[in-house]
Amino acid sequence: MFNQLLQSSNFYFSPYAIPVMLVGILIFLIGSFVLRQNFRSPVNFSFFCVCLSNGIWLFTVSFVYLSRFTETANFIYRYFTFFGVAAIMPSLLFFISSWIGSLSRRKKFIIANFVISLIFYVLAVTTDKMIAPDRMRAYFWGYYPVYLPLSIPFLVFFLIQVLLSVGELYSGYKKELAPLKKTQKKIILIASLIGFTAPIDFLPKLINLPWLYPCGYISMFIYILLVAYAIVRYRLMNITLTITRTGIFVAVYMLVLGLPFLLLTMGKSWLMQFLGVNWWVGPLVLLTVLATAGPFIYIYLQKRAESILLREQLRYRETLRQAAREMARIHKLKKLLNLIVHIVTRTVVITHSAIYLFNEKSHKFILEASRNLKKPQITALDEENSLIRWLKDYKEPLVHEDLRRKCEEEANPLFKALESQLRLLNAEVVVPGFLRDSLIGILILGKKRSQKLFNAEDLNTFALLANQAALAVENAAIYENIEEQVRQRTEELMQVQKQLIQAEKLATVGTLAGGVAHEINNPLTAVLTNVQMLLTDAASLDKDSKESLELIEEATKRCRTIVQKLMAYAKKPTREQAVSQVNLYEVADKTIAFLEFQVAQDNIILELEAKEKEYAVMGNSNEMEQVLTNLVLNSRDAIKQVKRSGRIKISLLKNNNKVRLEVSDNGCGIPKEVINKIFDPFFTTKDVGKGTGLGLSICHSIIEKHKGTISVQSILGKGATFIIEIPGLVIEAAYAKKHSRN
Amino acid sequence: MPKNILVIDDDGLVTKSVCGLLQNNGFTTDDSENGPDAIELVKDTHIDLIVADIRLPGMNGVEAVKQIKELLKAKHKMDVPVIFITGFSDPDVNAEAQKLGRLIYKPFDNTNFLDIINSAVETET
Repeated sequence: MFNQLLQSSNFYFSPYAIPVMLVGILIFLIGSFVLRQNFRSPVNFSFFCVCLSNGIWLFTVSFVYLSRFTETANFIYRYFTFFGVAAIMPSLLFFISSWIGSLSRRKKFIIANFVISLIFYVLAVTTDKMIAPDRMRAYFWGYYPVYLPLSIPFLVFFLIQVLLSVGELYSGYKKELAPLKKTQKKIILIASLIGFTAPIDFLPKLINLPWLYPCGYISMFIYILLVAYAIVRYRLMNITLTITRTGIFVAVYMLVLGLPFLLLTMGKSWLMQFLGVNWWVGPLVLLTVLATAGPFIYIYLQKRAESILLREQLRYRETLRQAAREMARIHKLKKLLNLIVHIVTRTVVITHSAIYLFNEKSHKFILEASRNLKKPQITALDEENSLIRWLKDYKEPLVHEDLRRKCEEEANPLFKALESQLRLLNAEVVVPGFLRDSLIGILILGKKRSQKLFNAEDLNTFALLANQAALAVENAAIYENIEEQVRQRTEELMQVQKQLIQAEKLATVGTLAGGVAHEINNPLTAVLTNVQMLLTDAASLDKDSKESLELIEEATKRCRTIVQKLMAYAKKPTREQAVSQVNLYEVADKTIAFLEFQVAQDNIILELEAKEKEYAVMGNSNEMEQVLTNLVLNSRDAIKQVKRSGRIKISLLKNNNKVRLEVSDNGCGIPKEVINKIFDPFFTTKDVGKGTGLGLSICHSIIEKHKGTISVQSILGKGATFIIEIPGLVIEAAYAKKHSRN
Repeated sequence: MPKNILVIDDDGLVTKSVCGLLQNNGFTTDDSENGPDAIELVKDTHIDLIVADIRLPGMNGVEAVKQIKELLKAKHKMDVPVIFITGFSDPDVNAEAQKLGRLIYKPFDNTNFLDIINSAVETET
């Protein structure tokens, strides 16, 4: 019996069998491909069963069409084709149950279906009550079996299975709440409705339409394609779009291949009237023309269909693209971020959105802008966070729904961590924003208010938007930074300018003071000399004259003091800064004598604390006086800021070959922010006119020249202590002695 | 014989007052308004002491005193003491002046001034 299959003389070529055979093979390959994606998944395995049964049906039925004799056709149909046909519906129910997740509940039911189908198959093979064993119907496309009365229960059984699967799918679809799963179920439902038009094959026999070619394999092919796509890549598929694209594709190629085919099969006699023996040229030309035009028609129709179907999405994508272009023009970072969240939330119509930006100081992603946030939001994400690491590695948007599905499918700790991160962030989608390969921010999107899913094109648009935004954010940051720097520099420049003017004024005052001193001192000399001369001859004076002369003398002396102060102020440094042995005790003593009176006017006590009277260093006494004077006057100002009275202490001590001189006060102290700047030139906390900002800087350079150090310790509000350390002379002298002896 | 003191100052108020003070205290005085005049003067006048201002028009007091000292050294083989009086002058010039003699700042107290003059004259004698 089987031998007849191996004899090629039992077959002939029929063009009608070819597409059926090809589709059968294709369906089998698709099933294998899906199975390879995930061997363990019952969904993939049951889908493979569906493909296998359909593949057997179509592949073998093509050989029925190719059979030259009734016996061969009948043998193939009954033994092989019917096996496939009988297995289709149980496989389909198996698949639907796995898909919906009711497999465990329906196990017995599905096994029962397989068993009943198997019984029908055995009946078909072993009895002559179901499919006539000795005859076949002959149509223009080939043989077709004659069904006998026992096939009616099979048909009823088949139809019941169809209805059950549709019902099961529909209720599963209705019950489903998760948007992604709902979409998947919608795909399968629509695909099934298309697939169930396959029994159209029965029509020619049932209602006697001999011209109707059994094209059920086409709907089955569409069904398989859709479902396979849904299983493998369903996650972001736009079902309407996919069906439309497939529909357009099928329609166009039905036209391209179908019209010449119809002309070939049905218009032969009509064509021969015009073209004679070359009648086949007609369909060939038509095929060439249509095949050439086909892709263009397809593209045109697809565009038109998509512009209608995706009007909403195209609109917001365009808006976002436009916004991305506009962003570069905004230079205020805060404004830019608010604009992004505003536009995204409004145009995509989502519940909320938020932006986290990378902060270089804290190495964290900080929540910088948000829109419509209802629940409390995490304000910062660590750089080492699993979500951030994932975004850095994969550089693509993450969809919460997608992660939820992955978590259901397999217990992967990474997916679990990511899923919980997205849940904490209230994020339906997380879009990373990259700038030259580094992640500078992330955009968080809530759900679409329409409850629709985000699809791949949406995500591409968001990724584009995020990267454009990253660029704009950098732009704005640079711009703001420049603005801030310009502002700071201008301020500094103005400050320096003020100080220079002030310094210039002081220099002028100094020069003036010198001139004035000289000019005034001469007449004062005359006055004082003469008054004192007159007073020496006191005996010749009456009491009143003597008193008057004494007043003149006193007034002249006061004038002298004023001029001396002015001169001290204008005192120029000597050209040669002589370095000699300086006793810091004397320096301190002299400074105190000089300033004591001045600070006393502000109720400040100036005291010296030292265990001995010899603190020798090498240096310049004038300069050391200058340093000490500066420090004491600064201390006075610091006290005056916060108190009505105070105390300044100059202390001297020897410390490890060094002389340590401290000036401490109980004034306002120095804030932490400025303590590092106080020795900078032109840095001052005093009002213009009160300080040049040069005092401490000069002190610093003088002490450096003395090979010493100057530092400061302060507690804000409690006071400050300036500490000067200079190498002591005793050691140096001893050292010099030792060397000279050598 | 009273000591003769040369007072060099460009300000007449000062020369008159200082000369008056010195004369009242038993000195004779000569005065000059600038360096060159003073140099001319000492060529044929005996002086025991110079009181000189530092800031003078043209040649400053220190320079003038140097030249006078050299002149007298060459001519009479004698060194004449000097006391500078200044209202305000350059610290470097002051330092140089102090190498030649005492420096007193104007305006000074008579007693203080006379003490210095007397001690300078006595040292000389």
